[in-house]
Amino acid sequence: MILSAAPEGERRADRKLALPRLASAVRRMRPWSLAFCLVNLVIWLAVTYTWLVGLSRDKVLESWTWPEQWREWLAATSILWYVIATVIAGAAGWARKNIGATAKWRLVKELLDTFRDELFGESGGVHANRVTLFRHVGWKWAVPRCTIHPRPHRHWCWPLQTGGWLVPVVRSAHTTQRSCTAFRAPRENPAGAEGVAGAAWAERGIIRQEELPNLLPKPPEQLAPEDERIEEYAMKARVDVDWVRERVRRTSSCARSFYAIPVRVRGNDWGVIVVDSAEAQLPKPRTLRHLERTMARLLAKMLEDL
Amino acid sequence: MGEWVRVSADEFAASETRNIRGVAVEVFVSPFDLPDRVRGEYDPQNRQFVVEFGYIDAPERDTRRRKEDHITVVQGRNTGRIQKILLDVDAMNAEKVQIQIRAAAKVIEKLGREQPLRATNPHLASTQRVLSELGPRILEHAGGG
Repeated sequence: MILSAAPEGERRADRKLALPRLASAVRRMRPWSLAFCLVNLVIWLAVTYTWLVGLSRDKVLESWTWPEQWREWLAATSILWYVIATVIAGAAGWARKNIGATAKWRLVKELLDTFRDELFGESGGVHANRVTLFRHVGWKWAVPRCTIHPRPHRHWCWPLQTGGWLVPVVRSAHTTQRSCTAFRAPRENPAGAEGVAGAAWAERGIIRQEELPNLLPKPPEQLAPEDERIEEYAMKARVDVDWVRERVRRTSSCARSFYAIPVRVRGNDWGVIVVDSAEAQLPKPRTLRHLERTMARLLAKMLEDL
Repeated sequence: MGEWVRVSADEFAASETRNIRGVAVEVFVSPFDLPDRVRGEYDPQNRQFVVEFGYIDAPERDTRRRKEDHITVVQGRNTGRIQKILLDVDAMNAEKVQIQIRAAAKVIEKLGREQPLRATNPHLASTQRVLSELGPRILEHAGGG
C-alpha cells in the first residue's frame, strides 16, 4: 500500500483557486461580518503604522508631507494611539464574534427544543427529558461544583482544569439552565473520558444507554451511600461514584437513560449532544435516527462559524 | 458529475458492541460518519472512474490517499471518512467498473481492520455496504464517459 498526500498537480490547482475562493467567500459574507472585517483591517493597518512611527519616529516623519503640527501631534501621541487602536481592535473582534453569534445560539437552542419536543412531546415534563449540547474545550475554569471529580486530580492546574473537557453550552427548555457539570474528555487519553458524553466523544459513535437504576424512587426513599444501586449507576453512566452519592444526597435528578451523539464541524470533533431522560427507555432507534440526522445536518451548518 | 444517489440511514447505519470501562455498549455509526449521498463519474483524462461520497457536514480539506493495485482511496485525515475512490479503468465499461467497485469494497473492509482503535468506527463497514449495495445505482446515474 502506498500512503501519500495530494499529488503536486492538485496542490498547484488548489493554489490557483485560492483567489477566486477568497472572492467567493467575501461575496457570501453577511454585511455585518464584512463590515467588521474591514474595520479590523483598517485598525490593523493603523496599529502597524503607529507602531512603526513609535519605532523609527524620525525616519517616518521625514518622509511625511502633512502639515508640521499634525506630524508633531501624531509623534507625541503615538503610544496613546497604539493603546487606543489595540483596545478598539479587541472590542471589534469581540463584537464580531458575539453580536451575530447570539442570534445563532438562539437558533441552536430552538433546534434542541424542537428535537426534544419531537422525541418526548409533553410526557414527563421538560426537566425530565432534556437535550444538551456539550462543547469540547482544552481547558476550563476550576469550579469545584462544575466537575464530576470532587477530588484534586493531576489534570488540575489551579485555577484551570486542563486536559480536555466537555462543557454544556446550550440546553433545551427553560429549566436546569445553570447546570455546569462538565465531563473529562482528554484527547491524549480517550479511555479516560467520563460520562456517556465522554464515551461518545472518545468512541466517535452514538452511545445508547438505558435501564439505569432508579436512584430517586417514589415514594421518596433516601438511598444509603453504600447502596449498590449507586455503584451500578456510576459504572453504567461512567461517572465518579462519589459524585452520584452527592447527587442522591441532594436529591438532584439522575437520568435513567442516555443517548449521546458526537458532533463534528468541518471534519473536526466539536462536541456531543446528550439526550437524557427520567424514563428507563428511550424512543425507538428508528425515530431517534431519523430525527438525529435532520438535527445534525442543521447543527453542523449553524456551528460552522461559532 | 453524475447524479447523487441518496443513502438511507435506516438501511446502512451499522453498529458494533464495545466494552467501555467494563460495560458492554452498542456503538452506532454517527450521522456525521455515514455517507449521506454517493455519485460516480468517468474521468477520461485520468482514465479513472471516480466514486464520491457526500456527508452531512462540509467536506474535510485535509486528506490522505492510499493506493492498492488499481484503486486509490481518499480519506479525511482527521475522521478517516472515505471521500473518494478512484478506480483505474481504461474506458467507461459498466461491467469492468462494477468489478472494480466490488474490489474497492474489499479494500475498505481491509482498511477497517487496519485502522487504529480510535478510527475503527462502524462507519467503514457502513461505507463498504453502501458501495457494494448501491454500486449498480451509482453506475446507472454516473456521469462522463
